[in-house]
Amino acid sequence: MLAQIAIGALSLGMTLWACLRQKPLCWKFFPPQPVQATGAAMFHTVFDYVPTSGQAHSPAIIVKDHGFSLIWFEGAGEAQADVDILSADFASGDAGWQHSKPEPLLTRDTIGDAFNPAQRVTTLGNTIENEAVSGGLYATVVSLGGWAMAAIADVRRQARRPVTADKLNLSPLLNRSHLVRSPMLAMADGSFALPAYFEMGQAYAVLVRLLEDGRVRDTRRITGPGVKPIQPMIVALDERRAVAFMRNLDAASKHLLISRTPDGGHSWSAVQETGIENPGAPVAMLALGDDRILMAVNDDASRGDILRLTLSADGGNKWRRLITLEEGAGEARYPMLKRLPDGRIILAYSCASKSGIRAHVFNETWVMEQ
Amino acid sequence: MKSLVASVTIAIVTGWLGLVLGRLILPLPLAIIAGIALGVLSVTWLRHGLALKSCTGLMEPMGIVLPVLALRHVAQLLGFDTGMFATAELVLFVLAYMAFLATTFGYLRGDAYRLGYAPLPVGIMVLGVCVYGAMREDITLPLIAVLAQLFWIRGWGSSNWFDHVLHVALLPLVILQLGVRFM
Repeated sequence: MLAQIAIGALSLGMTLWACLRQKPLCWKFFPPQPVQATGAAMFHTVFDYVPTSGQAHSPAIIVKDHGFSLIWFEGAGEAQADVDILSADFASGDAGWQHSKPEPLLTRDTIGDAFNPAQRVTTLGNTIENEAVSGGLYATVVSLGGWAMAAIADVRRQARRPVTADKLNLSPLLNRSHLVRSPMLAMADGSFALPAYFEMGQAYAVLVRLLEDGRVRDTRRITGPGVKPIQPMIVALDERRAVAFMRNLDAASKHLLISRTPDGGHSWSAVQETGIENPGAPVAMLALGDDRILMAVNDDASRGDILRLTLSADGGNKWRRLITLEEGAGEARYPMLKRLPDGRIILAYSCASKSGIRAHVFNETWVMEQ
Repeated sequence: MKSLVASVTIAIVTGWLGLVLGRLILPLPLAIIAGIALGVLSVTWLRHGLALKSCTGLMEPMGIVLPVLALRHVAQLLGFDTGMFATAELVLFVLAYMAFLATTFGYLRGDAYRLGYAPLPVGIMVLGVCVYGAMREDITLPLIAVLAQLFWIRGWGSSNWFDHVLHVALLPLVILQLGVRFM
């Protein structure tokens, strides 16, 4: 009995210490900065990549001081045992946008050896920038099975090479079935929140809050009755409000899903279907300020080959089609939108049914002219 | 420290596995030596072998529950009286654990796993385990809960307390144990 009392007292002390040293999470978004459309309209296709063999899919954009990088996964096919993460660096000069030769950025072996203890990684998937850490990435890694057995690895790099990797602790089932796809959300205190999703059972989206050292501090589910929301794309409208658009994993559904938060991501409305058709593909969004949102979307339920840019002026309630970017040349999916420091916008996506990666750079004047 | 804890955990669990398998063909003293040898090899020579990397990739985070229960089993084999979990306790554990996993899969409302990120809910749960341990005059469960709290606070392993005190491998093991008792 004495031993149990001593252990209980020790626990009480640790609880008190942990509560006192814990910093409360900031539930305010970094609000989008409105950018005025100035200068002449411009739209350039800066990347039209076709791998020598196999597939290239799910590009992400890493914005840098003087350009950007694209990263994507490439191999014989999705979830195959030869998939690695490739990248190409882009810089703007007098001759326009130039890019480096695509090269492997992360391989299954280098990530596997970066875990401590080392782990086997059989395939890689969606990978995004960890915007809270210079050179950081969040990679979808699989040690066994398919996407439902995936985990999110927090990968830290030095000189391109991964030096550490840690799986985010997001589920009690051996950390399994969480994936990333969309960019992080900047919070008002300088931290970032990570949109992720759980693909097993009644699939759902989740907003992950992280500590400075990268450990998970809290999660908030984004879910609703009768739907399976995955691949959440979240944009903040102001400090408190944000909107999430999601793909429905339920194959019978042919519409995008939506949820909103009124309190900085602390709580989310029940996920509902929108009127926007969707063939089961993720969207990309970019907040333009003043409740305007630019969206790249497959908005025909039966045609994944149609990719459009659409614009909302009221925080995502109504959408206006701007331009059809792709049609009739194979599936054009998994778009990603980011803004460069000078205001220009990058759009990247996989094209020709995962057989290539295409990227465009344009400005807001061009958007407004559509 | 984090990697040291992970290595010790792997060494204990693989060592225990070596002991259990060794017992099938060897006398206890030799099986213990085989277990210790396998445990040491797993974090040295075999560390970068495909088999161990696959097991680590599949089983982590192992938390402290598996190594503590493994050591408890070794103590039992050596003749120490470590007590037994009652059948009702094991049945209740299986039911509660399945309900816990069901909330993760979204089949039941709520998100029990989320409680494992926050100090106050974790503190309350640990205290509850300590009270339960005091009632049944057992030290194992309070020890696991408090060690897990220490490791969780120090950042040695998972950022969720539940990963330190639970592991899905427990579920088939406990169900197997119950099957043996009911046979």
